[in-house]
Amino acid sequence: MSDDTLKKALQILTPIRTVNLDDPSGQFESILNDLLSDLETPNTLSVLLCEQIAESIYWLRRHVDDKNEILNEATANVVKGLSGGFGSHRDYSSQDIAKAFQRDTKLRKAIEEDLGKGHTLDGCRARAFIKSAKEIRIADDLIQRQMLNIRHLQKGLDSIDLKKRILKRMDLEIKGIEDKLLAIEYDPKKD
Amino acid sequence: MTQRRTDANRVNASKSTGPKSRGGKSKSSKNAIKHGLNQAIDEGSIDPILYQSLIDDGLSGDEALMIVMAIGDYRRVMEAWEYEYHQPKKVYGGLESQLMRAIEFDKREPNPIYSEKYIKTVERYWAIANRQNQRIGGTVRQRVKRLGKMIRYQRRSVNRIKKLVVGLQK
Repeated sequence: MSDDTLKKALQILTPIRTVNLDDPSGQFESILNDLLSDLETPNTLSVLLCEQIAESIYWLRRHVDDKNEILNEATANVVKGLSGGFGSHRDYSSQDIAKAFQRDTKLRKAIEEDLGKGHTLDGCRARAFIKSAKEIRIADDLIQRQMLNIRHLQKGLDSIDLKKRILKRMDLEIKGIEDKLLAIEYDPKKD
Repeated sequence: MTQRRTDANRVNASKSTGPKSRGGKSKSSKNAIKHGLNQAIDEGSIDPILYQSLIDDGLSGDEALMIVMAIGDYRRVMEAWEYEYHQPKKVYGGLESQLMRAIEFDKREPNPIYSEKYIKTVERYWAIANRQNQRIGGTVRQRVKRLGKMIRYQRRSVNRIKKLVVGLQK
Protein backbone atom coordinates (compact mmCIF):
# COMPACT_ATOMS: atom_id res chain seq x y z
CA MET A 1 0.00 0.00 0.00
CA SER A 2 2.66 2.49 1.06
CA ASP A 3 4.89 1.46 -1.86
CA ASP A 4 2.07 2.20 -4.27
CA THR A 5 1.42 5.54 -2.57
CA LEU A 6 5.11 6.41 -2.76
CA LYS A 7 5.24 5.51 -6.44
CA LYS A 8 2.17 7.60 -7.16
CA ALA A 9 3.46 10.51 -5.09
CA LEU A 10 6.86 10.43 -6.81
CA GLN A 11 5.11 10.37 -10.17
CA ILE A 12 3.26 13.55 -9.21
CA LEU A 13 6.35 15.18 -7.70
CA THR A 14 8.91 14.55 -10.45
CA PRO A 15 7.70 17.18 -12.97
CA ILE A 16 7.00 19.83 -10.30
CA ARG A 17 10.03 19.31 -8.06
CA THR A 18 11.01 22.56 -6.31
CA VAL A 19 13.76 21.52 -3.86
CA ASN A 20 17.24 20.92 -5.26
CA LEU A 21 19.45 20.52 -2.23
CA ASP A 22 23.17 19.91 -2.39
CA ASP A 23 22.95 16.80 -0.20
CA PRO A 24 25.37 14.00 -1.11
CA SER A 25 24.37 12.03 2.02
CA GLY A 26 20.89 11.41 0.57
CA GLN A 27 19.25 12.34 3.90
CA PHE A 28 16.73 14.65 2.29
CA GLU A 29 15.58 11.99 -0.18
CA SER A 30 15.06 9.40 2.55
CA ILE A 31 13.05 11.88 4.69
CA LEU A 32 10.97 12.82 1.64
CA ASN A 33 10.28 9.18 0.72
CA ASP A 34 9.16 8.44 4.28
CA LEU A 35 6.77 11.38 4.27
CA LEU A 36 5.39 10.63 0.83
CA SER A 37 4.70 6.99 1.67
CA ASP A 38 2.61 8.14 4.66
CA LEU A 39 0.28 10.24 2.50
CA GLU A 40 -3.24 8.92 2.22
CA THR A 41 -4.22 10.39 -1.12
CA PRO A 42 -1.28 12.12 -2.78
CA ASN A 43 -2.10 15.11 -4.95
CA THR A 44 -0.06 18.05 -6.24
CA LEU A 45 -0.48 20.26 -3.19
CA SER A 46 0.06 17.56 -0.56
CA VAL A 47 3.16 16.27 -2.35
CA LEU A 48 4.49 19.81 -2.65
CA LEU A 49 3.94 20.45 1.07
CA CYS A 50 5.63 17.15 1.93
CA GLU A 51 8.66 18.25 -0.07
CA GLN A 52 8.86 21.52 1.89
CA ILE A 53 8.40 19.67 5.22
CA ALA A 54 11.19 17.23 4.30
CA GLU A 55 13.46 20.17 3.55
CA SER A 56 12.65 21.76 6.91
CA ILE A 57 13.44 18.48 8.71
CA TYR A 58 16.74 18.33 6.81
CA TRP A 59 17.65 21.88 7.90
CA LEU A 60 16.53 21.17 11.44
CA ARG A 61 19.08 18.34 11.64
CA ARG A 62 21.81 20.53 10.12
CA HIS A 63 21.18 23.29 12.67
CA VAL A 64 21.18 20.86 15.61
CA ASP A 65 24.58 19.63 14.36
CA ASP A 66 25.74 23.24 14.04
CA LYS A 67 24.74 24.00 17.61
CA ASN A 68 26.72 21.03 18.91
CA GLU A 69 29.67 22.00 16.74
CA ILE A 70 29.69 25.56 18.13
CA LEU A 71 29.73 24.23 21.67
CA ASN A 72 32.47 21.69 20.92
CA GLU A 73 34.59 24.29 19.12
CA ALA A 74 34.26 26.70 22.05
CA THR A 75 35.09 23.90 24.52
CA ALA A 76 38.20 23.05 22.49
CA ASN A 77 39.26 26.71 22.71
CA VAL A 78 38.73 26.76 26.48
CA VAL A 79 40.73 23.53 26.85
CA LYS A 80 43.49 25.04 24.71
CA GLY A 81 43.56 28.12 26.92
CA LEU A 82 43.65 26.19 30.19
CA SER A 83 46.21 23.54 29.32
CA GLY A 84 49.32 25.68 29.56
CA GLY A 85 52.93 24.78 29.01
CA PHE A 86 54.77 23.84 25.86
CA GLY A 87 55.07 20.30 24.60
CA SER A 88 53.22 18.79 27.54
CA HIS A 89 49.88 18.70 25.75
CA ARG A 90 48.39 18.39 22.29
CA ASP A 91 45.76 20.60 20.67
CA TYR A 92 42.30 19.08 20.75
CA SER A 93 39.88 19.65 17.90
CA SER A 94 36.11 19.97 18.23
CA GLN A 95 35.83 16.36 16.96
CA ASP A 96 38.07 15.20 19.82
CA ILE A 97 35.86 17.03 22.32
CA ALA A 98 32.74 15.47 20.81
CA LYS A 99 34.34 12.00 21.07
CA ALA A 100 35.38 12.64 24.67
CA PHE A 101 31.83 13.59 25.59
CA GLN A 102 30.30 10.61 23.84
CA ARG A 103 32.15 7.45 24.77
CA ASP A 104 35.89 7.85 24.57
CA THR A 105 36.82 7.71 28.28
CA LYS A 106 40.53 7.35 27.43
CA LEU A 107 40.51 10.61 25.49
CA ARG A 108 38.49 12.31 28.22
CA LYS A 109 41.04 11.24 30.81
CA ALA A 110 43.91 12.50 28.64
CA ILE A 111 42.25 15.89 28.20
CA GLU A 112 41.56 16.24 31.92
CA GLU A 113 45.17 15.32 32.69
CA ASP A 114 46.33 18.05 30.32
CA LEU A 115 43.97 20.52 31.98
CA GLY A 116 45.62 20.01 35.32
CA LYS A 117 44.21 20.14 38.81
CA GLY A 118 41.01 22.02 39.51
CA HIS A 119 39.68 21.80 35.95
CA THR A 120 37.32 19.30 34.41
CA LEU A 121 35.98 18.86 30.91
CA ASP A 122 32.45 19.56 32.14
CA GLY A 123 33.68 22.81 33.68
CA CYS A 124 35.25 23.75 30.34
CA ARG A 125 31.97 23.02 28.58
CA ALA A 126 30.15 25.29 31.02
CA ARG A 127 32.65 28.07 30.38
CA ALA A 128 32.35 27.51 26.62
CA PHE A 129 28.58 27.73 26.89
CA ILE A 130 28.82 31.14 28.56
CA LYS A 131 31.42 32.32 26.04
CA SER A 132 29.43 31.33 22.97
CA ALA A 133 25.97 32.05 24.41
CA LYS A 134 25.16 34.52 21.64
CA GLU A 135 25.81 32.08 18.79
CA ILE A 136 24.06 29.25 20.63
CA ARG A 137 21.01 31.46 21.02
CA ILE A 138 20.99 32.18 17.29
CA ALA A 139 21.38 28.43 16.58
CA ASP A 140 18.41 27.81 18.89
CA ASP A 141 16.42 30.40 16.94
CA LEU A 142 17.28 28.62 13.69
CA ILE A 143 16.14 25.28 15.14
CA GLN A 144 12.97 26.87 16.49
CA ARG A 145 12.25 28.42 13.09
CA GLN A 146 12.51 25.07 11.33
CA MET A 147 10.22 23.51 13.92
CA LEU A 148 7.65 26.24 13.36
CA ASN A 149 7.99 25.85 9.59
CA ILE A 150 7.25 22.15 9.93
CA ARG A 151 4.26 22.88 12.15
CA HIS A 152 2.81 25.48 9.76
CA LEU A 153 3.29 23.30 6.70
CA GLN A 154 1.85 20.34 8.57
CA LYS A 155 -1.24 22.36 9.43
CA GLY A 156 -1.69 23.09 5.74
CA LEU A 157 -1.19 19.45 4.87
CA ASP A 158 -3.65 18.35 7.56
CA SER A 159 -6.26 20.75 6.28
CA ILE A 160 -6.05 19.29 2.75
CA ASP A 161 -5.87 15.71 3.91
CA LEU A 162 -8.63 16.32 6.45
CA LYS A 163 -10.82 17.72 3.71
CA LYS A 164 -10.22 14.57 1.69
CA ARG A 165 -10.91 12.40 4.72
CA ILE A 166 -14.16 14.27 5.48
CA LEU A 167 -15.30 13.82 1.87
CA LYS A 168 -14.38 10.13 2.02
CA ARG A 169 -16.26 9.70 5.29
CA MET A 170 -19.27 11.56 3.88
CA ASP A 171 -19.24 9.30 0.80
CA LEU A 172 -19.15 6.24 3.06
CA GLU A 173 -21.98 7.62 5.17
CA ILE A 174 -24.10 8.37 2.11
CA LYS A 175 -23.39 4.87 0.83
CA GLY A 176 -24.33 3.44 4.24
CA ILE A 177 -27.60 5.42 4.29
CA GLU A 178 -28.35 4.31 0.72
CA ASP A 179 -27.74 0.68 1.70
CA LYS A 180 -30.06 1.08 4.71
CA LEU A 181 -32.73 2.64 2.54
CA LEU A 182 -32.47 -0.17 0.06
CA ALA A 183 -32.67 -2.65 2.92
CA ILE A 184 -35.86 -0.97 4.17
CA GLU A 185 -37.39 -0.85 0.73
CA TYR A 186 -36.49 -4.43 -0.01
CA ASP A 187 -39.51 -6.63 0.41
CA PRO A 188 -38.77 -10.36 0.01
CA LYS A 189 -42.49 -11.19 -0.38
CA LYS A 190 -42.53 -9.39 -3.67
CA ASP A 191 -39.87 -11.75 -5.05
CA MET B 1 30.80 75.33 5.43
CA THR B 2 29.46 78.76 4.62
CA GLN B 3 25.82 79.44 3.75
CA ARG B 4 26.91 80.54 0.29
CA ARG B 5 28.65 77.23 -0.30
CA THR B 6 25.59 75.28 0.94
CA ASP B 7 23.29 77.20 -1.40
CA ALA B 8 25.66 76.64 -4.30
CA ASN B 9 25.73 72.89 -3.53
CA ARG B 10 21.94 72.77 -3.54
CA VAL B 11 21.73 74.55 -6.88
CA ASN B 12 24.38 72.28 -8.36
CA ALA B 13 22.65 69.18 -7.02
CA SER B 14 19.38 70.23 -8.64
CA LYS B 15 21.25 70.38 -11.95
CA SER B 16 22.70 66.93 -11.37
CA THR B 17 22.28 64.54 -14.24
CA GLY B 18 20.44 61.49 -12.98
CA PRO B 19 19.45 58.64 -15.26
CA LYS B 20 17.56 59.91 -18.32
CA SER B 21 16.79 56.81 -20.38
CA ARG B 22 14.17 54.26 -19.41
CA GLY B 23 16.85 51.56 -19.05
CA GLY B 24 18.99 53.80 -16.84
CA LYS B 25 16.06 54.63 -14.62
CA SER B 26 15.17 50.95 -14.35
CA LYS B 27 18.77 50.10 -13.40
CA SER B 28 19.11 52.85 -10.81
CA SER B 29 15.75 51.89 -9.30
CA LYS B 30 17.47 48.67 -8.23
CA ASN B 31 20.40 50.44 -6.54
CA ALA B 32 18.96 50.06 -3.07
CA ILE B 33 18.19 46.34 -3.45
CA LYS B 34 20.34 44.23 -1.14
CA HIS B 35 18.98 40.70 -1.58
CA GLY B 36 15.50 41.09 -3.07
CA LEU B 37 13.86 38.69 -0.61
CA ASN B 38 11.17 41.24 0.20
CA GLN B 39 10.22 41.83 -3.43
CA ALA B 40 6.99 40.49 -4.84
CA ILE B 41 7.25 37.44 -7.09
CA ASP B 42 6.84 38.30 -10.74
CA GLU B 43 3.79 36.57 -12.23
CA GLY B 44 5.76 35.89 -15.39
CA SER B 45 8.30 33.77 -13.52
CA ILE B 46 5.86 31.21 -12.07
CA ASP B 47 6.16 27.53 -12.89
CA PRO B 48 3.49 26.78 -15.55
CA ILE B 49 3.61 23.00 -14.95
CA LEU B 50 2.94 23.43 -11.23
CA TYR B 51 0.15 25.89 -11.97
CA GLN B 52 -1.48 23.49 -14.44
CA SER B 53 -1.22 20.52 -12.04
CA LEU B 54 -2.96 22.53 -9.31
CA ILE B 55 -5.72 23.49 -11.75
CA ASP B 56 -6.03 19.80 -12.74
CA ASP B 57 -6.44 18.97 -9.04
CA GLY B 58 -9.55 21.13 -8.91
CA LEU B 59 -8.25 24.50 -7.70
CA SER B 60 -9.51 27.69 -9.30
CA GLY B 61 -7.15 29.78 -11.41
CA ASP B 62 -6.77 32.44 -8.72
CA GLU B 63 -6.15 29.91 -5.95
CA ALA B 64 -3.56 28.07 -8.03
CA LEU B 65 -1.82 31.32 -8.95
CA MET B 66 -1.66 32.48 -5.32
CA ILE B 67 -0.27 29.13 -4.16
CA VAL B 68 2.34 28.97 -6.92
CA MET B 69 3.45 32.50 -6.08
CA ALA B 70 3.64 31.72 -2.35
CA ILE B 71 5.66 28.57 -3.04
CA GLY B 72 7.91 30.61 -5.37
CA ASP B 73 8.48 33.16 -2.62
CA TYR B 74 9.29 30.42 -0.10
CA ARG B 75 11.67 28.73 -2.55
CA ARG B 76 13.49 32.00 -3.14
CA VAL B 77 14.07 32.36 0.60
CA MET B 78 15.16 28.73 0.99
CA GLU B 79 17.59 28.96 -1.92
CA ALA B 80 19.15 32.04 -0.34
CA TRP B 81 19.27 30.06 2.92
CA GLU B 82 21.19 27.22 1.26
CA TYR B 83 23.52 29.67 -0.48
CA GLU B 84 24.36 31.34 2.83
CA TYR B 85 24.82 27.96 4.51
CA HIS B 86 27.48 26.92 2.00
CA GLN B 87 29.36 30.23 1.92
CA PRO B 88 33.10 29.74 2.57
CA LYS B 89 34.66 30.79 5.85
CA LYS B 90 36.00 34.31 6.06
CA VAL B 91 39.44 34.76 7.57
CA TYR B 92 41.31 37.84 8.65
CA GLY B 93 42.74 38.98 5.35
CA GLY B 94 45.60 41.01 4.04
CA LEU B 95 47.99 39.67 6.63
CA GLU B 96 50.79 38.83 4.25
CA SER B 97 50.66 42.13 2.36
CA GLN B 98 50.49 44.03 5.66
CA LEU B 99 53.44 42.06 6.89
CA MET B 100 55.48 42.76 3.78
CA ARG B 101 54.73 46.48 4.03
CA ALA B 102 55.64 46.53 7.71
CA ILE B 103 58.93 44.72 7.36
CA GLU B 104 61.79 46.85 6.28
CA PHE B 105 64.70 44.61 5.66
CA ASP B 106 67.82 45.93 7.19
CA LYS B 107 70.37 45.88 4.40
CA ARG B 108 73.25 45.81 6.84
CA GLU B 109 72.01 42.57 8.41
CA PRO B 110 73.69 39.56 6.84
CA ASN B 111 70.51 37.48 7.22
CA PRO B 112 67.56 39.87 7.80
CA ILE B 113 64.99 37.08 8.13
CA TYR B 114 66.51 36.08 11.47
CA SER B 115 66.79 39.64 12.77
CA GLU B 116 65.05 40.51 16.03
CA LYS B 117 63.01 43.21 14.32
CA TYR B 118 61.66 40.76 11.76
CA ILE B 119 60.73 38.17 14.38
CA LYS B 120 58.94 40.75 16.52
CA THR B 121 56.96 42.05 13.53
CA VAL B 122 55.90 38.54 12.55
CA GLU B 123 54.89 37.75 16.12
CA ARG B 124 52.82 40.94 16.36
CA TYR B 125 50.98 40.27 13.11
CA TRP B 126 50.42 36.64 14.04
CA ALA B 127 48.83 37.73 17.30
CA ILE B 128 46.59 40.24 15.48
CA ALA B 129 45.47 37.58 12.98
CA ASN B 130 44.70 35.09 15.76
CA ARG B 131 42.71 37.67 17.69
CA GLN B 132 40.76 38.76 14.64
CA ASN B 133 40.05 35.19 13.55
CA GLN B 134 38.81 34.31 17.03
CA ARG B 135 36.51 37.32 16.91
CA ILE B 136 35.18 36.40 13.46
CA GLY B 137 34.74 32.76 14.52
CA GLY B 138 34.90 29.45 12.67
CA THR B 139 32.84 28.30 9.70
CA VAL B 140 29.87 27.21 11.82
CA ARG B 141 29.73 30.33 13.97
CA GLN B 142 29.90 32.52 10.88
CA ARG B 143 27.12 30.70 9.06
CA VAL B 144 24.87 30.65 12.11
CA LYS B 145 25.22 34.42 12.38
CA ARG B 146 24.49 34.86 8.66
CA LEU B 147 21.43 32.60 8.75
CA GLY B 148 20.12 34.29 11.89
CA LYS B 149 19.54 37.44 9.82
CA MET B 150 17.32 35.53 7.40
CA ILE B 151 14.86 33.99 9.86
CA ARG B 152 12.25 36.70 9.39
CA TYR B 153 12.01 36.08 5.62
CA GLN B 154 11.31 32.41 6.24
CA ARG B 155 8.68 33.26 8.84
CA ARG B 156 6.85 35.56 6.45
CA SER B 157 6.88 33.20 3.47
CA VAL B 158 5.87 30.06 5.38
CA ASN B 159 2.99 31.93 7.06
CA ARG B 160 1.76 32.96 3.66
CA ILE B 161 1.68 29.35 2.45
CA LYS B 162 -0.14 28.20 5.58
CA LYS B 163 -2.79 30.90 5.34
CA LEU B 164 -3.45 30.12 1.69
CA VAL B 165 -3.64 26.34 2.09
CA VAL B 166 -5.76 26.45 5.24
CA GLY B 167 -7.98 29.03 3.52
CA LEU B 168 -8.69 26.54 0.73
CA GLN B 169 -10.73 24.43 3.14
CA LYS B 170 -13.01 27.38 3.90
